[in-house]
Amino acid sequence: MTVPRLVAAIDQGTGSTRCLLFDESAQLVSMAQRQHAQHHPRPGWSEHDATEIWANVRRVVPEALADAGATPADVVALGIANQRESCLVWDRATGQPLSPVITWEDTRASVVVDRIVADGHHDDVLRATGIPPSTYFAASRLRWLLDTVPDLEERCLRGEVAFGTMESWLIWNLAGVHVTDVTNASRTNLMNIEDLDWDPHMLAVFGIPERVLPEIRTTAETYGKCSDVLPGVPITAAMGDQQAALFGQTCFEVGQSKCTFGTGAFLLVNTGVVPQRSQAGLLSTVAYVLPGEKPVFALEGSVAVTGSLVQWCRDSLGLVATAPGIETLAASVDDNGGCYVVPAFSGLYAPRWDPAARGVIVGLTSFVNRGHLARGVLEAAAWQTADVVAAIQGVVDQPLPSLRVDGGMTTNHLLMQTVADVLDLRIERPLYSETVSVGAAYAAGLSAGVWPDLDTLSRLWRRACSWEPAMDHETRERERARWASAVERAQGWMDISDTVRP
Amino acid sequence: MPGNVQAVERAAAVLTVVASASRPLGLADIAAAVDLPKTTVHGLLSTLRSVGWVEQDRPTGAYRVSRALAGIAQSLDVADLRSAATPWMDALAAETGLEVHLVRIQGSAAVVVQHVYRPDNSPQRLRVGEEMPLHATASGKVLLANATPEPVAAAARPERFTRHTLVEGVELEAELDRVRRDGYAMEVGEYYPDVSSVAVPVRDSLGDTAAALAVLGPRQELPSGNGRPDLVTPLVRAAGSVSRTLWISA
Repeated sequence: MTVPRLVAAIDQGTGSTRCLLFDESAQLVSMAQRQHAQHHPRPGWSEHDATEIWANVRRVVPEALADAGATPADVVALGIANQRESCLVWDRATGQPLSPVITWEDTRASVVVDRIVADGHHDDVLRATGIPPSTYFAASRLRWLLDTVPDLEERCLRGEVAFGTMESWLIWNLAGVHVTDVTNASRTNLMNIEDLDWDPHMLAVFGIPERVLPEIRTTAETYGKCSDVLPGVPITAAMGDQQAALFGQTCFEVGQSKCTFGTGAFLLVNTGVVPQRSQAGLLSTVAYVLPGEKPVFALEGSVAVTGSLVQWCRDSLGLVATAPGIETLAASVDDNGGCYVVPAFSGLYAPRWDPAARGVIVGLTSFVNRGHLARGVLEAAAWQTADVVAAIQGVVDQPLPSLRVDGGMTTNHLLMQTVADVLDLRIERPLYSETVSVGAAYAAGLSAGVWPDLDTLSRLWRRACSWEPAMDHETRERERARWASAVERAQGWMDISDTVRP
Repeated sequence: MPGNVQAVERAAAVLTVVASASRPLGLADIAAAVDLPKTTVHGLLSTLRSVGWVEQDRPTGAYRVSRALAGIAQSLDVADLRSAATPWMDALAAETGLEVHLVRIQGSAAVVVQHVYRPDNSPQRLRVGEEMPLHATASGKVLLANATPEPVAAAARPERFTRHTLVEGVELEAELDRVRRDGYAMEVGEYYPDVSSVAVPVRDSLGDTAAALAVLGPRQELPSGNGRPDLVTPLVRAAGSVSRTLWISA
């Protein structure tokens, strides 16, 4: 039996590293996955071990190949998708990491961001990079490393050190070149959103020596050939995971959108070739750049707490035995019984941005039972998504045609139906919820000529499931008002200081 | 840290097996599941019974978790099943080009618990929650043939939906025998005249049938004759993958 030509995708995610192999008809052939350790050495700190992640890549790729009965010679291209904003520095001579991977969840660099804002650079950064200065993005973490790792700044100036997000780290190890892709670079606070290159003024603001940075390349071009793991296979695409999901959902038209429902939710809408200004809590970001074509931008709105609220119900409350079980419990009642849950565990994000907010459960009466609470939990995920969509509709003129969804929570029919109901929008799930890996494979295959163009990729998208809105207007508006009222009650809670005594 | 107490470990293993079963279990089943001699397991069960954690069925002597511990006794949640099955159902739909159903028995009906559309982007309607007849669908026949205990018998004669529907008791019993023997069931225009289906069981860790996995399509696209259809191979493979995912997550 001959093995078909394969496209490999590596998805270097927050929790695990995976390798998926696809054939030329874009069918999934095999998959292998390994989790890596999460380190939290101090409150607010979040780290991974770059050496462990690289070792996992060296395991999962051969495992996926073995599962498919294939060898590296059967693979025509490799694409990489990665957790965004997580970054590290390493020694160019030895290849050894000089820091842990400091992840996107890590807030240690808040001192750097506070200083930059205090120095009056907030508007400069927003104007140049399209995104406000934040610990969420990589530049502040790099500056923090330069401030704290002995000799690092001197060694950077001498050109001995390389900085990179995860795709840079993997491409360096696979092919020995120091590059980043433009979607990842757009999440650093250092790349100019207009000319898509490192911005000299931003380098000055953050105090970053340019020699440490990788070269910015397009999303889908050959960066180099693997000398390890997949010897001889060209690496032909790299992109941040949320952009990869947008690409995998083939949202190539202006107004097409996707939402990934995981621990949080990430909603991206294609806004076309002109970057939108970040506003109303939405971030302007590069969706993808193909060689010789105009860049395509996206607006991104995120919900911090969706699946993690369900996990909290499981682990901290013992309300359910398993995360999917929340649906069964929620389906044991007809409605929320008047109970609303606002999971503002670390403040409210888009579109309200209130760091002083904290979670509330309101509307409790003796009538409310566990089922109502479970329903309130699912409705919280849906209404937070609705708030993001409302913010997007305030920026993007045309109404969204539908919302394409992916992620683990899409097997929850009650949640998906509720999302359709509150958005008054058709919700569609594609075959394979692995859209991040699909996107990396599509971009890699496009770049390598396996698929000729974006239209061909669009035709590979297959609807596996859809949910039509079934809620009447009056109910939706009444529930929207109650949700808004519940959110008001969550806001400003931390303004009541611990030192206040009765 | 001191090592685990072996007797507690073993008792916990026995209790887990008894609690996760969908029916009372005999001594031999339990001993096989925990891979210990029957005499050892009998001793453990006697102790568990004396402290009130397990009960014995009077007529059969089979063991079940006591009512006091009913909270621990979780049967397989439909949402967990759906979560474990969906990736494999997606792959099955992609491989066969057909609509895929995951179906459970509920009372005297087969209920669709997950549905993956025929992957051709044609307009389709979500059928999750829909009740189907046990005797007239491939999924239903798999569930009927493997049901323990026997489902509540339909009140009267099974309903005839098409001229192909099996409604005679003798015919139906022979069909279920065939399903048990072959490990798959077929439906050829028996519920909707223009729809055919092939289904196989999805088994839990004890080998009991947790659900049926089926592919469906227009009659002319699916086999109708005798002999094992090629579709059984990917179906059995997908059902096995779902089972393994269930065991890992259990």
